[in-house]
Amino acid sequence: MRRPSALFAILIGGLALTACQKVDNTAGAPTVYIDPGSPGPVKGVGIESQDIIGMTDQMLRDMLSQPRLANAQTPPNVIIDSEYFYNESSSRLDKNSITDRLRVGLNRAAQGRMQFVGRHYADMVAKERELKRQGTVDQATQPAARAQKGGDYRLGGRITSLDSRDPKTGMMQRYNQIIFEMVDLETSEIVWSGIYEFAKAAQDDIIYR
Amino acid sequence: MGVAGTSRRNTSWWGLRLVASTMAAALAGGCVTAREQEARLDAGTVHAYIDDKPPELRRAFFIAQAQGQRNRVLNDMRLGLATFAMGRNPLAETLFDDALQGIEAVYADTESAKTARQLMVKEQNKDFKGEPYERVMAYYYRGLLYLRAGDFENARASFKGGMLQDAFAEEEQYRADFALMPYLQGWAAHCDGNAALAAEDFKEFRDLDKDTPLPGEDHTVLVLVETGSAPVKISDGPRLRIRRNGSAESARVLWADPESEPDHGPPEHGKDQLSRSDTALLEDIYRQASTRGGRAFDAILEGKAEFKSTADTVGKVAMAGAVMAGKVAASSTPRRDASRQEQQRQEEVQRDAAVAGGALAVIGLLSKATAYSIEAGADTRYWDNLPDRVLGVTLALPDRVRTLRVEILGPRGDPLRFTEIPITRAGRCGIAWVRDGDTLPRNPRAPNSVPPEVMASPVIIPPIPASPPSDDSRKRPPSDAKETKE
Repeated sequence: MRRPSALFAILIGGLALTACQKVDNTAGAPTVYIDPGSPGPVKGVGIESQDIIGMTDQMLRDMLSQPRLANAQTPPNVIIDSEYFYNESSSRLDKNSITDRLRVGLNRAAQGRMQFVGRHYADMVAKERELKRQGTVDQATQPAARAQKGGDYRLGGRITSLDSRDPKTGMMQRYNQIIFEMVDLETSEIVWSGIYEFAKAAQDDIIYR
Repeated sequence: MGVAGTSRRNTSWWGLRLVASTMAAALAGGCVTAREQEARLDAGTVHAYIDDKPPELRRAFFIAQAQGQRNRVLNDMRLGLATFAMGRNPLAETLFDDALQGIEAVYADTESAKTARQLMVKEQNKDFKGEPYERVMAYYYRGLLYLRAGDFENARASFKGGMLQDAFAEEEQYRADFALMPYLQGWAAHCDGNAALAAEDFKEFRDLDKDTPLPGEDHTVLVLVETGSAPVKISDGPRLRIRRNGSAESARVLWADPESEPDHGPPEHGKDQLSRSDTALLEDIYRQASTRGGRAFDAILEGKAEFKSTADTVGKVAMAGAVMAGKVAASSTPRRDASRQEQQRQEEVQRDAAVAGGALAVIGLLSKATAYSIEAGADTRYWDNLPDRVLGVTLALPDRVRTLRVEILGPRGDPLRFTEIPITRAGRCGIAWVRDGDTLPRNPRAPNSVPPEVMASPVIIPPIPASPPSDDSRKRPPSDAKETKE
């Protein structure tokens, strides 16, 4: 009689304990390469890698189909950097990740139809030119240029967002709009414009509401 | 037969006592999940992580590492603020970026979120993201770091992101009312030279705060003074309550510019040509914390509390029934002078009462155990080195003014103490920030971040593992041996 009671008691006690004991025994995850063009395991409503790839690819194709830029008799000098690309959205981001990808993609695809001016390297070039002019270093293999290249067109643009939240359901939504414009640096004419927009919505678990 | 009946009764009482004692032991164990404990870490891993951290914060960094993902955001926030105050900007940036990543990650259909909703799991089992006021403040400090670096666009984005976290208040009037954020958004836009955007942001601020003066067009320096201690979270059963932990103070900013006359008021008596400006209350953090109202999750906690109460009542009733059945069993002892038939009847009553008493006791104990195991308390982990209030003012100061004196004033406007602070200038603007009080966490562990027994345990960083002797030193004979050989 005593043994079954004891066993029963132990069973009950064990159940009481196991009811609340949870062991976080996840084995972890080894490092894996993730396709930056598709959504990753950590998601939010901000601008993510797949958005940058999608938008720059679209802008690149669009720009290459613009005759004034890509089919001019004399290939225009183009400046593509983040200097005049403004972020007014609620997403903290490095704008260079957008403009760099755009410049590199365009440069590779344009195949000489456009010439790209590295204005963000102007200081580096100026220093080297100065050393050459002073005779500290030799002239190298290229003939001396009168000056650094000026730009015919420069990229401008703006990132904006519109956020909304439903306090009852915790649903959050962000509409992102990114505009790209190529501006004539003599006349300020906008010779090309592109827009990329997307909206994302997500709902956090109730434990965070 | 009477002896047999007494023996059986004794056995059931012993069984019950055993069940009761085992249950009591089980209950005493409490419901603590492995997630809530601190991990034991390899000394090499610990030192690889903490050795480049500020010495006064190494124990806290060690704890952050041991507490892992569950308290990652909380520890990032505390340490981010401490390193921000120390001027360790790159480290603070990394910590706040990590905290914001945790805050912005959407927990939808994740295992940890599911677990935290379970009946017998505490709310604090979940990964900490903080209450809205804590999340907003993480964006605030990240934004200030951007201001220090002169990245005004991302500073504005950060403040804007912070405002979005303040959208969950129960009452509409308290939703998105964190006035500090649009003020700083406007300031960042102003520093970025975007007057249109700044005007828009200041209009949003003006809708929330009618009195505080807006920055002038020629203003170039933002002064922020933080006073008081963080709001304290307490669990009132399933409801989360907030207690103020600071006193009402104000601040005054003074500076010396030898090349110009003081224009922000008369010079201070006894102080050579010091200009001065009062600060305005930009945000009351306690007010933000306490006006959030009920959370959606509170309904779940209240359901848990109700279930707990019902289970407890069932347990009490069953235990009372068990006691009564025990009394019936005790009073039904067959009398020696009774007839055999009567003795048999009384033995049956006694047996039935004992069985019923045992069953009720088991039900009672199980219900009590269930009631005990249900975790209906609110999560009371909190960011403990936050301020109580943020005061501020913007000034038009030339670059030659590099430091400011900030006087903390008592409730009657009498100066209590002062601090000299530098102005960090980057781009068009500068920022001067000061905390009246300590930003170093008092305890390496955040309040209520681990079970009480772990909270009370000492923090011991494992010693650096002794490096094995190098091959050269092993091969090299001792110097005296060498001498002998020679």
